[in-house]
Amino acid sequence: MAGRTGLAMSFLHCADLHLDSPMRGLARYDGAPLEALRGATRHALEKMVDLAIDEQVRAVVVAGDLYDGNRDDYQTAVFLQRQLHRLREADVPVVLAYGNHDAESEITRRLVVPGNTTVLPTSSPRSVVLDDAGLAFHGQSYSTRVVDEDISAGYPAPVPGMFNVGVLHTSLDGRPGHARYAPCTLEGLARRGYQYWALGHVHRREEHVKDGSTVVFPGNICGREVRESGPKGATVVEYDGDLVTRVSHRELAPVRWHLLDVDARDVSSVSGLTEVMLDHVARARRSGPDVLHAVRLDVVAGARARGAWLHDAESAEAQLRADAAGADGSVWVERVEVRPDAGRGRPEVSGEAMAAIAATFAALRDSEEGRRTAARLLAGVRARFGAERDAAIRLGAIGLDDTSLDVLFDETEALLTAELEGDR
Amino acid sequence: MTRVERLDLVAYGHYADATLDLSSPRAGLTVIWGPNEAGKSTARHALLAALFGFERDEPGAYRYGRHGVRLGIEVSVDGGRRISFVREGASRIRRPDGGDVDAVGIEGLVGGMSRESYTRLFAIDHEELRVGSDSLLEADGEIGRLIYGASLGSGAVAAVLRDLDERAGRLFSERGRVQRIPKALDAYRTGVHEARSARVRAREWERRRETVATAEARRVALRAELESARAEHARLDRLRSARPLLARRADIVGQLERLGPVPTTDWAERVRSALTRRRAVESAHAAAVALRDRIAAAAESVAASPIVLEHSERVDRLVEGVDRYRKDTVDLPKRQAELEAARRRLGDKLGALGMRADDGRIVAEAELANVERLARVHVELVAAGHAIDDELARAEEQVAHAAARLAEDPEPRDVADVERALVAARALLEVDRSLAGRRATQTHAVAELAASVGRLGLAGRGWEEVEALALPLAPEVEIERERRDEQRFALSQLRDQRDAVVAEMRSVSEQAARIGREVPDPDRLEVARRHRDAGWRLVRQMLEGGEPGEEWEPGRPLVAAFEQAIGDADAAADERYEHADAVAGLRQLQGRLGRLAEQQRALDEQERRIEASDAVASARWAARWATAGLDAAAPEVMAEWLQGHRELVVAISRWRADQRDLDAATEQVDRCRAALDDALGRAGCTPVGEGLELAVARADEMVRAARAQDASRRDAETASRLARDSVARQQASLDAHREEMVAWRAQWEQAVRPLALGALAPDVAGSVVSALRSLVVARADVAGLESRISGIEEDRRRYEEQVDEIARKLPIVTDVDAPLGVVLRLQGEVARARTARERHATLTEELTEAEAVVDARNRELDDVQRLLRSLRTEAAMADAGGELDFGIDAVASRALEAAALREKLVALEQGLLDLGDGRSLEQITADATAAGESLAVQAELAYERVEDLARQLELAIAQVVDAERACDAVTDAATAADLEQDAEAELALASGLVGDYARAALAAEVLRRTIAEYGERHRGPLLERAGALFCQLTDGAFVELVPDGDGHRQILLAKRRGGELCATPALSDGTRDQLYLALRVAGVEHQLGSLVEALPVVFDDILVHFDDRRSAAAIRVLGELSGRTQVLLFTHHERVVEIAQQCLEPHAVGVVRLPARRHDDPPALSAGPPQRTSGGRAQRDDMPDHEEAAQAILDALREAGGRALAKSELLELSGVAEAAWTSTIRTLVARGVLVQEGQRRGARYRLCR
Repeated sequence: MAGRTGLAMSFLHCADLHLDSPMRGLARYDGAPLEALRGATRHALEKMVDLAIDEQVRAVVVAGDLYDGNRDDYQTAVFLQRQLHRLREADVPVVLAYGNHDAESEITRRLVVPGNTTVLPTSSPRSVVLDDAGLAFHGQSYSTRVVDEDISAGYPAPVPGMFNVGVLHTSLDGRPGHARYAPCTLEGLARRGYQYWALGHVHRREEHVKDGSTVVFPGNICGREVRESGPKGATVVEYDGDLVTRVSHRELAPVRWHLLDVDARDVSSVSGLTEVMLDHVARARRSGPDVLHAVRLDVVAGARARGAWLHDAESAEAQLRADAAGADGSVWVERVEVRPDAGRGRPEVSGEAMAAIAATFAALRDSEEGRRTAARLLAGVRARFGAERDAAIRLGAIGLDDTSLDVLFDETEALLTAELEGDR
Repeated sequence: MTRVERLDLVAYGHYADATLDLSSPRAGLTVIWGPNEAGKSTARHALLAALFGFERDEPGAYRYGRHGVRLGIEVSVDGGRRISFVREGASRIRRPDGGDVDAVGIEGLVGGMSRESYTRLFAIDHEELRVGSDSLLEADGEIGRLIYGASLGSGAVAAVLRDLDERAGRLFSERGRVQRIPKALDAYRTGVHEARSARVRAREWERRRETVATAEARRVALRAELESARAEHARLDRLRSARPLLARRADIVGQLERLGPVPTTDWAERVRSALTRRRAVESAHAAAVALRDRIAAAAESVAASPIVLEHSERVDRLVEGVDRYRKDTVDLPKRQAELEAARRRLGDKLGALGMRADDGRIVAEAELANVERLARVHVELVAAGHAIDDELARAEEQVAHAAARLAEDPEPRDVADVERALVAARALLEVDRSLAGRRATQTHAVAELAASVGRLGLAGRGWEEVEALALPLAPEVEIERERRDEQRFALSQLRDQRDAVVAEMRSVSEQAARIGREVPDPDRLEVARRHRDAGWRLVRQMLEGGEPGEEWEPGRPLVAAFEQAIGDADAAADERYEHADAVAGLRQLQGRLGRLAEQQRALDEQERRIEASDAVASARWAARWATAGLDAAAPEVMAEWLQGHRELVVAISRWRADQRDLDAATEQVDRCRAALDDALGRAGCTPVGEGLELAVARADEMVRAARAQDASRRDAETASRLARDSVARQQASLDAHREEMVAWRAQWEQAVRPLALGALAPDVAGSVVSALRSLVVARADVAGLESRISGIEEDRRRYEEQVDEIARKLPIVTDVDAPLGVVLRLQGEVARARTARERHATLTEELTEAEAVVDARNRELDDVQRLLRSLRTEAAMADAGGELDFGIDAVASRALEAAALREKLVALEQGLLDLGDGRSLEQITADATAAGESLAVQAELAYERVEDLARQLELAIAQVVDAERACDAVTDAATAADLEQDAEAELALASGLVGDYARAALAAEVLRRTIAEYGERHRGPLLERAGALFCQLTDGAFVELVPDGDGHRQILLAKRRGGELCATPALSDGTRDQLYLALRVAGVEHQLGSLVEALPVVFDDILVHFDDRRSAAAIRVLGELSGRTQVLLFTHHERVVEIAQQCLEPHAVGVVRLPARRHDDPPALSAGPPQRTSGGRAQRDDMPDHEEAAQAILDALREAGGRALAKSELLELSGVAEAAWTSTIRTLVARGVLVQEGQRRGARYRLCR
């Protein structure tokens, strides 16, 4: 096998770039790092190209979903072309398979790729052999948004003496939160006899070894909401002949999302809550330098502390954001959810007057009257959200839908109890 | 009732080991008085902390730290039971004797209430009074809020409601656009719209790229065309310039041909230069020859002795060895003396070892070292042997001791049964201890039940009979009450209607009478008409020409009289007309009067029916109660009676259940004690019938003794086994040691044999080995000195031989005999020979150089001659005897002319070639000839074309740049994506704010609803009680509180003694304070009614703004309250103490005085605030001037060194009274001097940086 001697042989595997897809959930508050968020997916792709050039990888393979399906802004395509050109200037070949999002995109139909880039065909599987690198890629692009058959079954036989890589955009045998596309199984993929399967579509990184075949979802290149937490980036695959020698994940995203579970049941004040939360935030910050950490805190707190927090949640969150951001502004608290301690129930109240409040809530909670009351109070705001209501609900807006009314009643009771208990 | 009997301030705030005795009066008001800085607030905090536990930021922990604070408290509850416990550290709680306490039981003492809840419900301070008083204004007297606030223990309900409404209002309103949620939504939508506009569609991109390509192609084409045009124009221009040059070139060529052949222009110069040079070279040559000859003569005069030079190096070596020779001559006798001394020392050592002088025996160092090592091993072996002997003796002693101990220890007793019984008994100990108390409680409960039976008027009846009474059910009572209410209401309505009918009848009658009086007389109308008609006839007669008849009225003109008559008639007619309605109305009134009389009769009949029905129902009601042997009273009374009966039945039932539990517990304890006694008996301990606790103690003691015996025996056995093992180990060690000694002896004998000194004891081996080593050293010293002396003598002999040999070869020094003199003479001769040799060599070198100069001058002379010959040949001149000084100028002139022409020709041709752009001169000449006469015109046309194309190219380049810029704008920007990201952030913001809005809106709704329901439910009794208290507090200035308003909103009015009703905003500040206090005390009484054990109520400085009269009234109210529960009034005013003592019975008031803090008491934080002394007493509480209070607070904060302090800490440190707190702190915050961190109760304050 010919090749650049003296260097480890490697190629880079990425998927689900979703270029120019916005971050969801980071609200615009004073001090919000909007500049850092803008173009996060672009920065991740630029870093990926830098990585490919610096490490002199033999090829880059993209396993689908370059951009969101509804994206019709050609600025995105132009940016992608520029990055492909950078790889061409560095003499790095690119193998590209379109995924479900790409198939429905207007951009895909008009995208002109440079000479170093091979787009796998949509009609049937095809092999791309890079003799210098000893690599053979086999794969197929999506022609339509929905592909519900196992197209891997028709992939070509492996090329003897080469390192064979299968490229496929698939949900494998089903993954929570991901639509079912190109269904297949690990056993089925392993039977093809390839050394490596470069998969895409599932945004969470997964690595499997099955019967001598390494099967990898690299995850998306940049997390865009709290469900896409953890270090996001691409996978560098080192190989020697037809053997995988090392598979390593490289973080590329300029933003890392964290969903932090905080147990603050033993604190009783806002300052105590803040202290515990800042401890968790500091641990998140230490988990990776040079990235912006977007943090959601899911806090379980006692009734007293929770009520005090809800009493002035906005300024408490603002203070937490300021404290958490640090001198370098490397942490952005996306949201704080302070939940009750399920084992302790609602706050205990003393006195007949407070009991009357609890009784009113008890009468409203889980009753038609309660739903009507909430609907009446929130009718205006629900109407004002109009078409954006569903999007807001997905972002966790409480009160816009009936399913969140339990939480609303619960939080409101804690708030009102704190307001009345703590007024002296 | 839960009472605090004593509070021990062991370590809290500035207190150390202080005690507050709050046990008296048993039923009355306790006034806790202390001067400023005595620690009134600290004592209040301590009381709360002792009852409810320490808080994380405990105010009294500033000195001792959170883990150092310590409080003790004694509390009594109904039944006389007293409980004492101590709180210390952050969370530890224990009995005063150190035992554990039941934390749940402690919580039960305070009704399971938290510190915050208790403070809110049962503690009233000046600050609350102020806020509550203000809330009366804010709530605008709305009854629901006032009642709810009074029960809640807070005056800020209205403020909370307003705060929630404002919060919701800031976030969203139905039609608002400036609130935060609509603004964020608008921003999102605008962002999405802008992002959509900023997107670049694929077709747009392609169009831009096509534009770039088209413009670029046009630019390239124009560029090529322009280059071509420029080339043509340049060619024509060159040809036009070449024509005059060609003509001049032809002219010059002709001139050169006419001059013919000539030498070059520099020929004459070169000839003159060559002649000058020949003369200079000849002069230099002569000087060089003379110098060479002088040097040769000098060299011949200098000469050196060859034989001296030949031996010069050997002489040098002899000179170098002179010092050595001298030193050896001096050293030789010294070394010979040293040798003699060394030989004597050697002889002495041989003698000491008993060896002869000729004994040359040698012992190796290794053998000596081996002997030394074995000697050391011997010492160690002997020591080890002694140690093993000691250990063996000790182990044997231990074996004997253990055997004796085993023989003494008795066999342990079997107490397994006792232990089993003990486990069960311990579990029941607490039960057993509580039995006496529970029995007493049951007995007490029996008395209470009997009292209750008596209160219900059922004295003499058994409990079962009381329980079995056939009583109406509560709904029946309620129905009866409603029936009576309805009946009363119906009767009231009926009577109201009847009163209204009667009043109306009276009114109608009066109206009818009035109308009857006002109806006019018809005769008067008739007279008026007759007057009018008579007048008219007279007038008509006059108009028809007749004479007027008699005057109608004497003294009045006819016409005027006529008009008067007409007017009277009309007025009478009008009056009649108007009163016709009155007459009709009169008739109607008369009809209505009849109907009203009928109605009155019907109402009377209805009243009679209702009364009859009521009598029947009342009889039925009485009969319903008579079956139980009871006299029926009003349903309200009977409902209360029923409630009392229900409580009695429940109490009886509870008593029975408790009694059953008690009996069961007693039986269980008895069974357990019997089992324990049985087990003790089996274990050999005779039971004596004592109680369970003593039995458990005896069993414990027995089990402990048995365990100790068992452990002791096991220890003895273990010790015996270990001692035996130790003896065996020591004996084995002893055997091994003996074997080692035997082996050592063999090695020793072998080692000393080479010394040949016979038997050698190990203890002297060291000194023998040292002597042998010393002998070896002495022998070496003698040998060394002998060798050195021999060497010196040999060196001296060789030196003298060499001197002698040189002296013989060089006869110049034969006159000296001593070697040193000979050497010095030779040294001088050698130096002189060397100097002569060096001078000769220098002159020889100079001669060589002079000869080389002469040769060089000869060669230069030859060169000049050759040059002159060559110049003559160049000018083609005949040799004139070797001289060249004629004809030179003429030849040189021609050469110069020809050279000038050639130079011009070269320049012209170069110019032509430059113009020709690579073409030869011939081609240029041919082109110029071919162009003809129109060359200038052609060039001008070509120039114009170039200009035109250049302009077109410039435009094309601009188009390319524009098109590329349009593409670059797409390439470099992520405008749409950035806008989308910004819009997403707005949507996220709006989504996050919805929760805030929903919570605030829902909380306000729930609070409103609760206030309304609560107010409706409790309005009657609470208002009534608050009205009575208000009357007391205002010393009768106001007599009651009256609700007013419709069903939607009811407000509270205060009724003055004179009957005037006042809305709450119209009350003075002081009166509003009293109204709030009345509502709060009514609320406290209401809350106390719902507690199993009444809790103490704490008032703190509530009388600050009350004058003496109203202070006395308030004291009386508190005294009355103290009949229901313990009431503690904290104050710093001695006057309040005096008033309390004056207006309450002596047994109903107790005063606890807090000691003033001594100046040597350690301050809380460094030095504390400066003391103001006025009349020997700190006056902070009474400071009228807020500036002084502000200064004291600032001083306290400075002392704290930048730390944020809570209100309680600041009050404590600054000595500022609570009365001055709010206004002072607000002023300081408003001025920007202080920063407030946190809200409300959790607020802390620090100085601005």
